[in-house]
Amino acid sequence: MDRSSGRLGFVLPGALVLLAVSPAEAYIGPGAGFAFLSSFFVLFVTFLLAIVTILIWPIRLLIRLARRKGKLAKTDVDRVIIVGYDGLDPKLAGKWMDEGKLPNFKRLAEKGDFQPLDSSWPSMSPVAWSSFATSSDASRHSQYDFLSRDPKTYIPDLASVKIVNPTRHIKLGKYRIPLGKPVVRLLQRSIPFWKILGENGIFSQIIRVPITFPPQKFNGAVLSAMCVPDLAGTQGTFTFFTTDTEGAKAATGGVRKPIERKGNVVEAYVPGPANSMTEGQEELRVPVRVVIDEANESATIHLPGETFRLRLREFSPWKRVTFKPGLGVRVNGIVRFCVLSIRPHVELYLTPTQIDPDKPAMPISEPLFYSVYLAKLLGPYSTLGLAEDTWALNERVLDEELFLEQVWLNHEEREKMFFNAVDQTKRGLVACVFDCTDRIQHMFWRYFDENHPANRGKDTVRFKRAIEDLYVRADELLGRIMKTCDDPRTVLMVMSDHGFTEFSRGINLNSWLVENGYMAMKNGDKTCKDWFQGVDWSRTRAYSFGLTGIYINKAGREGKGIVDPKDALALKREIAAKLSGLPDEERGKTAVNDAIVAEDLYNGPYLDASPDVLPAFNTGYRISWESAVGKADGKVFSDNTKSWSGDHCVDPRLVPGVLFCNRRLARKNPAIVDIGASVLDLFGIERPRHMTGRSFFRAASEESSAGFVPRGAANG
Amino acid sequence: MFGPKIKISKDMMEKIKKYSALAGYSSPDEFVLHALEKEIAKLEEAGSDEEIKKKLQGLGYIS
Amino acid sequence: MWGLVRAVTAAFDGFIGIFGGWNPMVGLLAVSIVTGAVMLVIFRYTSNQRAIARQKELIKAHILEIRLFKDDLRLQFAAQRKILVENLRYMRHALAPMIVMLVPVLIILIQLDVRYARRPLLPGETTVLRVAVEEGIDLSSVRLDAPEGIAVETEPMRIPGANEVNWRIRAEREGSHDLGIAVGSERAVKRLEAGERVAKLSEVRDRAGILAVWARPAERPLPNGSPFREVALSYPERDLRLFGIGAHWLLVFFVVSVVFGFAIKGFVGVEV
Repeated sequence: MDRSSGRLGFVLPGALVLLAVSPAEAYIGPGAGFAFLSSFFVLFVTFLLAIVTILIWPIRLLIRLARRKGKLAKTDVDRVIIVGYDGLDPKLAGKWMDEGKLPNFKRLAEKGDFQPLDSSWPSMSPVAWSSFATSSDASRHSQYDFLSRDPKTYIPDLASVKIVNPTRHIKLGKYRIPLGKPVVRLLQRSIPFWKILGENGIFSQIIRVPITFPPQKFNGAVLSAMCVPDLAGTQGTFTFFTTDTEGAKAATGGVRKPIERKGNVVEAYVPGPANSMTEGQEELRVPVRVVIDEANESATIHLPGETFRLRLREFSPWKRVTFKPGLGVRVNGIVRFCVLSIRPHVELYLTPTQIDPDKPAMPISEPLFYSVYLAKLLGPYSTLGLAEDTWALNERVLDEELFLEQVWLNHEEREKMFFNAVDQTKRGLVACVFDCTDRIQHMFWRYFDENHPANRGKDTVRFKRAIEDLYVRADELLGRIMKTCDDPRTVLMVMSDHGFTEFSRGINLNSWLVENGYMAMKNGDKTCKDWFQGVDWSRTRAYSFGLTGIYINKAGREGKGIVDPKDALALKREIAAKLSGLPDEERGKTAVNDAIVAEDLYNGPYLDASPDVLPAFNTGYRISWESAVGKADGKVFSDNTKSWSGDHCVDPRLVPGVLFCNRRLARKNPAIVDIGASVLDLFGIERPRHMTGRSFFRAASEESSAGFVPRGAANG
Repeated sequence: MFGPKIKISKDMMEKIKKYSALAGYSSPDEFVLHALEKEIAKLEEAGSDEEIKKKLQGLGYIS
Repeated sequence: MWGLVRAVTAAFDGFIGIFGGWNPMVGLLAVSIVTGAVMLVIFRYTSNQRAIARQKELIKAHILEIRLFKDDLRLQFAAQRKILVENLRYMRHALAPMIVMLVPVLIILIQLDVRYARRPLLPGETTVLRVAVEEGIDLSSVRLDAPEGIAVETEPMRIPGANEVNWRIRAEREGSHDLGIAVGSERAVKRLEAGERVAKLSEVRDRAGILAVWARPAERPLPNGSPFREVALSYPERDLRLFGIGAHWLLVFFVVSVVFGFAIKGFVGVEV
């Protein structure tokens, strides 16, 4: 795909054509000749490919048949289409279906089935989508949270992916050239069911299903999603330039930078990755010059090699930027710009600089060229795992209107990919996850409740119907999808990984552990800073971080563990018992319905990676922002005042997802963990024994047992 | 096909197959990988604190 | 019009003259390179660059589609069909620049043709001078006045059916020789080039019209009312060689101009 080889490729066949040229045919000239030679080259390649295709196809067919694992049972299914609406809630869907606002969902439910879909335990996207992919519970795919930790150091890390940079370098003048590439490893275990489909000759296109980064090799194509980093290596860092020095302070999830206005011009930059080729590893930047046109409420943005005009509060299309760390190396990214304000202060918002899917700095798809293919076919698209900038709204850099616009811009890209895949698939699987449902519910749930603490100082009227509109749009999309899947040999499933509920009160589990004598601080303090700064591990028996639960400071596992392994289970039960029924006296509500010891939920091989105690929070409660980053702030309960006002990290029984299907299910209580097994069943493939999921197209009595599966684990 | 290979005795391989299935692993390879990872984790050094925190920046669910 | 033709021809003389002492191929290469660059710039400003870029991306996408669905014959052929359709669209975008470039390229080709298609006579080589006159003119009154350095080898051969008189003449010395032809008091001149250098060669001098003068830029057309219809001679074909490799000038021109254009398109920022 590189430019020079393309150039050579266009020229050589051109020379061949000219061997046959005569002076009489000469006057197309070299200028137009450029284009015609290119066209000829394309024709030449197409012709060559057609011949190669015909010659090779029988050989490939034989290889495929030889590699196929066993014979497929005959079924009446050619195609399975799975539409994932992350976080679509069955209660809201049911309510608006009853009110006639979601006619397509209603039609699908009437034609086939509609049931709540048990989520995973815990009911979080990385866990639930891993259960979806592997048809196994968390103790079999090892994903319990966004975060895991190194028990030796208590330092958190992403649970699903490990990126190891090369440690050896060569010095070359001012450069420090790494020997080797960074190694990116997927930490999700077990096998996705689409890999099993592939082994049986069934091709899949898996589009933006969470926890598919780094992409894994299989007979099909996958575009990675959740946990794909931006070019800076973070999970998404926006940049906010402002001439208001008051506004230029540190921000969560983003960087605020002061800029100076000189006349009508401000100079800014697009931030890129740290330059790993130099000792100082300084941030690479691409300069941006913004010329303000106050009269027309717009700005002209100058990038190297490109100039474009933007109206106030308008998102630019994706713009390609190239960072040059040196020695001819180029790193390509994409970014959107939005001029938020012109007066009194100039304010410029840049999305996180994302991996350019056309020239990916690291693989974000399998095969590698799948992301390139989609970019060439459909244009550039967001590649960041969590592409909707929720932190920019939390920080009030973007407002609700702009956030929604950003969400729908991303959504349009996803729709195009999805319909392209559906159109191509006559036999096989297409699974695509749409994130808009999750992100908008997280950020707009506060509008449901006038008393939500997140409403303080914010609009409570203008976007009151944002979530209802979201469901209506999801329904409208479903209507279009149903038109393309309207044949008896296509199974259409519309599902979500979990439902949604309010998040108005945060619970700081670390503060609770301190209060109850399980956690101790140095110097007798009651509080500690982020990531346990100040914790006295020699007197700490339990700690919490992330959004799932509590870990025992176990000797032999934790670096400074003090709890004897033989006492650990008793301690877990003690903590679980104390935590169960925890009241929020200020609100007069029970905050924790139940707290469950990991051994009572799971029995898989990765049980040891699980939090030891998993609290099942009541509606309205979630682990607080502070507790999630390993901080104890002296308060067990606090109001959640962020725009992120809805959540699903509660008792999974309170937030099931949805399952709509154009066929009737053979049994009740389907769970997300059952979907993979069900798809295998639809294609006549026997479920592998390691899967805990069961096909819901068979009555429970028809299914063979996978051995001991506790009730909780059966739910994922 | 040409990746690193480790020799395992036949009887050990049989045991791995049997117990990987019983334990809930999806394959003997996954079982062996997990067993080795657990051992290596005891010896491996951790990444830098700051580097890891930076990686988490922007994750919507936490601050 | 002739004044304009002469100005353009003089410009080519000046440019190609820079490489006068070198192998004739060098001048041709230089013209080809400059043409490639200029045409590229014209292409940029006369084509819809954005549409061309998009079309190319689509073609590449469908080529990747063939790789992606390597086990699905139906999708592979569908992708090939899409490539052909997109290719037609892509060619459509080349039409406007092609029309714009048609005239200048034609002029360049003619200017090169008069210099590189044939070579001057070498001393000792012969050619036939053919003089065609209007009907009714007595062929015996047609005279040839050969300058010094040109030897007339034969008596005039008169062909009454064609109203022509032919002489075989021989170049004896290098240089530009003006052959004088007369009928009574009416005179005309035909230039004959001899030597090894690159010179613009005119095989036929006639009464070219306003547009036809562009096709005969090496010699002023005969005036209207002249008793001569056409004065012609022929030159041998040129064998262009560089480092022992020979090629037709047109092939050299096309390959070099196109290759150079492609080579610099990235630097100039042109989508082709």
